[in-house]
Amino acid sequence: MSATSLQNQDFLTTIVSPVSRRSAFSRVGSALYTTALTQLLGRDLYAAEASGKPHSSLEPRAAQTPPRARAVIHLFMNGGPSQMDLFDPKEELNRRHGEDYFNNIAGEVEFPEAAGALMKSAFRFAQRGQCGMWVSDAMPHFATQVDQVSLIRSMYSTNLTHEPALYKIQSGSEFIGRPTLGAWVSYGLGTENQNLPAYVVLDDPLGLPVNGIDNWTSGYLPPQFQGTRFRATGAPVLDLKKDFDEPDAVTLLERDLIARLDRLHQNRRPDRPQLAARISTYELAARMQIAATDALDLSQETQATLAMYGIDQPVTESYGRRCLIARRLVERGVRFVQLFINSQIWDNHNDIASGLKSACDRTDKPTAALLTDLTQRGLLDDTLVLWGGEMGRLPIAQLPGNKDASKAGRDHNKNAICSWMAGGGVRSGFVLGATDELGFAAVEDRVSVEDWHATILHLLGLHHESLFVERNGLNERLTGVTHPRVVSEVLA
Amino acid sequence: MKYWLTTKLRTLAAWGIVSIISIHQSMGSAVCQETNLEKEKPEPTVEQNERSLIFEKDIRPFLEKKCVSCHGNSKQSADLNMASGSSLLKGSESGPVLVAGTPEESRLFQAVRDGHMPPEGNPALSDSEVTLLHRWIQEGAKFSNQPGSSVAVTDQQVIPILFLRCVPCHGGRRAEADLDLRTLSGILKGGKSGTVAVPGRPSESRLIQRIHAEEMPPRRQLVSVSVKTVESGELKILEQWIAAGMPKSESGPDTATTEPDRLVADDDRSFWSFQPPQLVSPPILSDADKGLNRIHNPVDQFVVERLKMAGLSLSPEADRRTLIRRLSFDLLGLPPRPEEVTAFVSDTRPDAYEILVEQLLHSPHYGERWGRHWLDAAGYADSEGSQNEDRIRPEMWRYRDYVIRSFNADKPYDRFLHEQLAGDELADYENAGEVTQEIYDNLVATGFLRTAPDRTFANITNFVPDRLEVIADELQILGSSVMGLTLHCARCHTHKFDPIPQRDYYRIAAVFKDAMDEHDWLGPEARRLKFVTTQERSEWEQSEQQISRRVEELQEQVKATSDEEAMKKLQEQIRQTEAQRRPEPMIRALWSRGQPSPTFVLKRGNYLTPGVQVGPGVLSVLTDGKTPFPVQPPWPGATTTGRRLAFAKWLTSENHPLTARVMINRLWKHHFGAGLVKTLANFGKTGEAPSHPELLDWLAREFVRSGWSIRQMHRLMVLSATYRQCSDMTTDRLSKDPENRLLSRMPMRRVEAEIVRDSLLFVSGQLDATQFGPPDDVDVRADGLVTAKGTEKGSRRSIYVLHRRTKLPTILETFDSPQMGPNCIERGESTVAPQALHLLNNAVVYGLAGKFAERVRAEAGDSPEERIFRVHELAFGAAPENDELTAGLDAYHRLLQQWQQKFEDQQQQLTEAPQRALQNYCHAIMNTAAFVYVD
Repeated sequence: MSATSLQNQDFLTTIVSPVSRRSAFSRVGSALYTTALTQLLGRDLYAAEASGKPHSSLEPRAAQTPPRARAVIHLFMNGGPSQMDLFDPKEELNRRHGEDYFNNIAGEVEFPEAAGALMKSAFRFAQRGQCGMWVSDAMPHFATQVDQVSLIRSMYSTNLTHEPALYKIQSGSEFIGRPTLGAWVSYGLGTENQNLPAYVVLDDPLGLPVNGIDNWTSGYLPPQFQGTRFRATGAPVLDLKKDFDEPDAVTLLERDLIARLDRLHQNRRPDRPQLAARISTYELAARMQIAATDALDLSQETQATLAMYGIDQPVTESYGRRCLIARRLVERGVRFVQLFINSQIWDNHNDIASGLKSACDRTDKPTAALLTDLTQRGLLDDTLVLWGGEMGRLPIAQLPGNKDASKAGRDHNKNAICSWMAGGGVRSGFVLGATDELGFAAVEDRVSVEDWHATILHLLGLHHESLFVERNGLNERLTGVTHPRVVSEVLA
Repeated sequence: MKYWLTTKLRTLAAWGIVSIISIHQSMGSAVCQETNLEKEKPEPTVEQNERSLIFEKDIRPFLEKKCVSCHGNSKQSADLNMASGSSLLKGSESGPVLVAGTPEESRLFQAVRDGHMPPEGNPALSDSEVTLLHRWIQEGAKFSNQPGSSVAVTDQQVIPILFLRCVPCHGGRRAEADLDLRTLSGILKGGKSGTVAVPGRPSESRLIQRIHAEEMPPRRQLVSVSVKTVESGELKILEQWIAAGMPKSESGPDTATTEPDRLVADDDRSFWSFQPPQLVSPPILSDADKGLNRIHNPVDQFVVERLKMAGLSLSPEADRRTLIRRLSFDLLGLPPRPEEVTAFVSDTRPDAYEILVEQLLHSPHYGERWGRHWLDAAGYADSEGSQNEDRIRPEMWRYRDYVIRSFNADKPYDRFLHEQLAGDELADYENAGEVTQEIYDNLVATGFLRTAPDRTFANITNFVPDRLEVIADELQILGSSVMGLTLHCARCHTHKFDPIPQRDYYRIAAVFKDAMDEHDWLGPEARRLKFVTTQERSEWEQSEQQISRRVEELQEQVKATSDEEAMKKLQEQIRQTEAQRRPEPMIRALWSRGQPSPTFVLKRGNYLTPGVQVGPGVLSVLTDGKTPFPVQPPWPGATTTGRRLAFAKWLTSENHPLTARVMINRLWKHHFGAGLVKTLANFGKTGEAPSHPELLDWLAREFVRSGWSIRQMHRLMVLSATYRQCSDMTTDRLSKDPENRLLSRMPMRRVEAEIVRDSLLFVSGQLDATQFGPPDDVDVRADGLVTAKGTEKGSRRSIYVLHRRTKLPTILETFDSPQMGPNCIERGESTVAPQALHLLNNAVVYGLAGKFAERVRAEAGDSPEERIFRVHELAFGAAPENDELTAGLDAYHRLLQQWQQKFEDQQQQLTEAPQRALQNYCHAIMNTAAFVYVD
């Protein structure tokens, strides 16, 4: 057997019995995070890069400050979940139900011609958990987890249309072409498992979200920092498996030939590091094949686990599968996992009473299971779980064409967004901020998208100002030229 | 900074404040030094502590020392003058700098507190001065003679509000109720219901009444006209203005005059890239040096001179196989054919190399290669982007074709720019009897300013800030690609490092205003003109007429027949004939719309805070600062302003400091792997200094002298001995010239994304060389794999594949084809596993390997050796080395064995097994480093 295929064999054995994530951390961890000296080295590295092009290495990199979380699972709720129907009960809205309010907020409505009166929530709220957090009956499973999370009721964005708002929440800018949060995190920290992508996207087999692949673009950062889509069935990653038929023995022979020719080519050209790098990408490609397949193999899980995620029930099967895969990826050292849902199930312009309920039915149980599972495995301590969308919704009704108020929905609202975070470094059982009496706009402890980004970076040991690349004369950052604050209230 | 400090300290030393010796002793720490110097500053006196602070007495003295040199009477950076109380109260380009009573909200204090001011390298304010400043503002910012703070509201503050909230319906294009609120006279005239504003009486003015009553702008129609409601601050300004009797501003728009500029001083202009390229002669080399380095042209003289200083000489010349492969990829983006390689290798003429270069420079593929570089800089894409839908830009490809043809024709670069920036102002296209190729080119060229991502096709994303973003992107493209400046940094404030006042950014915005006007906006779909060439139009018309005639004939037949079967057949024929109709040919362009709206500096880049009005102009730092910007209509009676043409002519004036240098540098980068100025888009102070400044200037002047001939510049570069060097690395070169900034060798380079794909097609004989026209569509698989659709003859070059922003072909994206955001000045070059995975596992690549094998079987003999030879010749332009051949034959036989085992059928073992083995061999070759790296 040739050198390369032998090598592959070696990798096979390593990967079949994967090092637990914890021990992987302890190996890397003690070396990288503990001493002040490496901190300085880490900084110097960034400074050196400040003058040149962005780096393109996925090797683990020292955090800039001691991190509280080492991995992120972002449960992205595209479409704009309704805050006053889930997390932010409004007595005043109930009281003033039916009152005309449109003129006060006319400039903040996407469909003025369909705007109706103030509309109370169709859901019933109760205080949950030890902390007494208000959650509506649309989310019975999440209601059992409130003591683990920090709820932010006072987030806001800057554009009331999906596309710009999505670009904003993902990349900090309302416009296309900037690196997303996941790309920045991968750029800043690299990743612990070189056989898997640093940033994995688990999109919905039913279809892409609005803005499609732009949601996980690396923008002007090198492409290795963009999100890699994993599929739950078939070849998990694009091009990961042969898209044609030939015996494996043939494939191995061919790879061996490539390796031999490349080495002859390289031997004639000493001192060209590019050639060594290229050869190593072919080796990595082979290892990824095995590692990715293993990560997605849910047959390794118990029936109880599968049931907890709702994988045994049609309505929760799909999202449950992705939540479970998210855990398996984080367990294997993937830095950033982002879950999407097809189109926009939270964009309840019509019939919010049933639409919102069905969105919760699909996601509530798997989400709660993920928190439970991460906790049970001790992973929640250094995994940051994020839940939220790109916007909130209005307190007034959006009426259907026939003006039937019983089938009303809610239009977009950039002024009030509810989101929560849990896990590594996050305060538990806590509620931050408040909206006005009708829930139209965040008024207390307002959290901008930039603040939210800065807080996430902070939890990962990165600083929004020192994480930048120089481009066309500007130091480009996730948070742009703004001066965000780290939302210290939600830190544990 | 060090230099500055030394001079400054010398000056101080001359005053006897510090001694020279102590300077040298403490040079190690600039900070310490400054602190020492501060000792001369008095602490706040007891007297100061007991009374309230007064500007003139307590604040002005230290502002004068530390701020007024940049923010004073003679120079007013950021439009801020601190020389007197009244000028300080006027504030800066970003608005007031003082908020009496709250230092934390005063920009003057913020800038000092945060260490932004005075800028790095200048003496900072002492702690006691900062304390004084804080206290002074906190105490209400008192002056000995409280300057009048009554800044009268004039039409200058009112007009921008009306444009923002009212003009979409009450303006030039749409004067509802016969009301035009764009100008003072229009406001005074009123509408069909009479006057709208009564001077002195806001409450009786219908303008105010309707806004107060929330009737205007009409709430339910806000989104349909992309307008937002009037903000309370804006209403207050309107009321104040009417109450004050609706005064008109005394000053007109701010433009360059013959008076010296206040915002940019002469010393700002001394930086190398703001000065015209110097007149330099190539260094004179000794005969020995000439011989040693095989000097071919002046380029080599500059390079060798610099190498000599480092104790180096040029590397030996590369062999001919390497040279033709390098040239072919570099100039055409395709590998050479084996016949071409053989011919060149055996060409004994002394000028064989020169002949080859000429052939390549005149190949039709040249424009496809070099046009692509320009399309990157221009931010070319076939879709709008920025919205989920990512709509196709149907006629954008005409611009792509224009660029390719321009390169192939060696269109002079100055003309190339004139067309792209002001093509509509070069000839009166509306009144031309015939739309000639030239008029067509003029208009299509303006697509250069139509490339940015653009979401304004939907009302909800077509508000003024959305439009401003598109304009900003276009100006960024202009700044980075043509001017080599980070112009966009001056959008929100005066440039932090380069002497570009915010005012100048908006003067340039005013240049483009008659074609890109946020208050007179053409959505993407309206940016089309019918001026295709008369020939194309008449061909289309004829074809449509033929179709119509044919349909009529068929319809007659339908009427005549009663047979149902025949009728069905005829109906089908009619349907098919109708399907041949093509949409009316249109071009996508940018053109003057006549009356541009006034341009205001937007304080902090915010459209809600307009500042002073400016007129069209150029960057003061690139002029003498006292020359007005000459604008005149391009022909008598023209409806266009001539602003853009004047700008284009200024850009291409003979001594322009940047235009020629920036383009030369781009050409150099693509030939040699790195620019002479490494930062292609930043020739400013934070950019990198040129490695060979004299060479850059010499080339820039040659460029202009040659009549802006790009082809002539290619000749100078690729005919040089510098370009002909081999790429071998030696320890000496590695240690003395680690980054190859001195050009002691040619860099080995990975080919770009398009070349990877085009070469795969080329070697397998599947490249359809058809040029131009609408792009080839792509297939998108559910898992995200994007593949270009083929043609009858294979597949066309990548430049002709649809460049939809969200659906870039996977192979191109994987190999770093850029995200246009908004453009790409320099591509990344990544080496990542997905590239390997794609080349290894993708079915299209594997299929091409099969075609490659078929071709080899047809062209070479039957023996494995002959076939392997042919594979190598086609793929690498060279026969395999012995060790390669051994490895290859060994692998081939093993592959064959495996396939023979796989097939049970003997016939298959005989015929199919060798085919499949050869396909594997070809597939392996396509995956080797040698296939994508060029020496």
